[in-house]
Amino acid sequence: MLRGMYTAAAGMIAHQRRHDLITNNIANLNTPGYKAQVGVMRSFPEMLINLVNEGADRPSRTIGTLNTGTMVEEVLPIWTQGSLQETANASDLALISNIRVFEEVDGVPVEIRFDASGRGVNQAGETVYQPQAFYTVWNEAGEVRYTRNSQMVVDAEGLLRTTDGHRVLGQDGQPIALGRSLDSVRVTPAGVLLDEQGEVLGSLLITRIDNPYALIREGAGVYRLEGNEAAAAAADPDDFEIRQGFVERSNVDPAQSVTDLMVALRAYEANQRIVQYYDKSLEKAVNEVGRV
Amino acid sequence: MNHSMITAASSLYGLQRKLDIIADNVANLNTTGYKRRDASFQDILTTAKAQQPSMELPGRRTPLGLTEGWGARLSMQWSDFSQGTLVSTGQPFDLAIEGNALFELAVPRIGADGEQELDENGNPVFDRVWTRDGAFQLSPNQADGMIYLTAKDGTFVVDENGEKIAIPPSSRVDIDESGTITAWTDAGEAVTVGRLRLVRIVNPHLLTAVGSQRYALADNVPLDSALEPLAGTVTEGIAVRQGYLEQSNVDLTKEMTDLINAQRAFQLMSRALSSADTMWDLANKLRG
Repeated sequence: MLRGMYTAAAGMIAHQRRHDLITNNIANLNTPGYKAQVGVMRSFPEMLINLVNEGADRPSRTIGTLNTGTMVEEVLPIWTQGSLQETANASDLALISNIRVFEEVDGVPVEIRFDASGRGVNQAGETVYQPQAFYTVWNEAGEVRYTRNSQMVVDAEGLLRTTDGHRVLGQDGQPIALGRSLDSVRVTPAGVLLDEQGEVLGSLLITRIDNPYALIREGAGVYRLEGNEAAAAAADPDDFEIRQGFVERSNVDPAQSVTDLMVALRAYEANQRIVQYYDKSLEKAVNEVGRV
Repeated sequence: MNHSMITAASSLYGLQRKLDIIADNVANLNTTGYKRRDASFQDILTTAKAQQPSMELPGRRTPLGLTEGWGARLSMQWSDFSQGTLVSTGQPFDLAIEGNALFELAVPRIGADGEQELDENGNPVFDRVWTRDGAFQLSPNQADGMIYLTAKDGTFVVDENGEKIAIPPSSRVDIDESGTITAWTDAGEAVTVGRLRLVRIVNPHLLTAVGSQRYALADNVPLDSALEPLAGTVTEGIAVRQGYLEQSNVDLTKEMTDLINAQRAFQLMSRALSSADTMWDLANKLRG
């Protein structure tokens, strides 16, 4: 029919998806360790437009291209560090991830500069992303997951868990059994758990994910790494710092989110108007053309 | 629109409960022995919308699939057992604990019929609860004519053997740092009545608040994973102070900051909900 009507409908759906995304960001304003999400929009593939019946001796010819809509292609988490809030609660262990990547150029280490979104370009000209450090946890089924939730508790069996209920793993890959609350445990910046006498009770396993965009968000604060297991390795203590008594807040910017919400709503409205105008045009074609 | 509305509705519910917790804390600013409660949020499970393999184009960063979140909810609530300030009252049976410990009380178990439950010998059954509220008093017991150490509502305080504490007629009662009770008769003799049962808190997250500033353990929680009974004499870092009461550990500044935070998040969420409502309205008005 009129191509534009489907384009406008696709626009409405795309902006509605963006609205849903932003609403979820705002809902998680106070979730510790939450990373805000951004929707990437892409146009539908272009169509060729042909001109037909121009004249008796001229065949149809291509006169140009037309996009027939837009969609949300993928959802990207923003990996910037959330701000740290001091709670003085010994069970809050904020993980500060600031991993720097160096390359050898003629024997001299050169640092790859990452921009605010964590993207950088290496010497070979390829796009690389800044690695991120995570706590390693087991979910109920015993599968490995990654999280930035900085609030911990010790359960009735003495196991260390995040407040989402996942068991936190130690350097040996097994859940850490503390047997006491974290109030009497001191956690060093490298993630070693010491009791009051300085005896080592365990050590937190911090995983370094080379490409954080390969992670799939599962909700309840955890991420899953699919396929490429080699991309996850234990992080070097220089790459991260654990601060006891601090919580990493969500990195959602409320002002930006509310503005984006308004933009999504008005774009939805604009597309809705276009659909209405096409409707009026069709109404004319159906009802008024050829009326006697 | 429906997705946004579901997200907003579930998150508003979580925020409402957080506001309730903060209001409860502020209301108990002056309650003796009150421990402030806190809660944390988590994001609700994310669903993934499948995408066609043709969407795997160069420049795409994430794996195939569009993830959708559904808002946030409260994941855990707990009581914060940090020390409250001690205030001197001068009353001999006002006790306060300095350090990481709790008094033990024996609460009679009430059966489903509303009557006190009795065991096979016809003796009443008691449940163990613990508290920081040391505002105790002497209460005469009509059944046996003895005078017991109880809380203000008559609940018995328990000694190190798990028994009720009977105080003999005396001119003065002293309770020292380890909780040992000494009664002085009119003749000037000292009689050791017993020692209060104190338990050290090993894991505060396992204690359930049961009202009146009292805490109990859920049925499936073993005692030694949460509490450790203190034996014998003075334990380092834990002392009982006679003539003092522990004030609530609620810090008004922190509660007000949390309140503003929660209120603004609630406001933003309502804004998102009304925006979703407007979108639905636009869709309804597409024609007619």
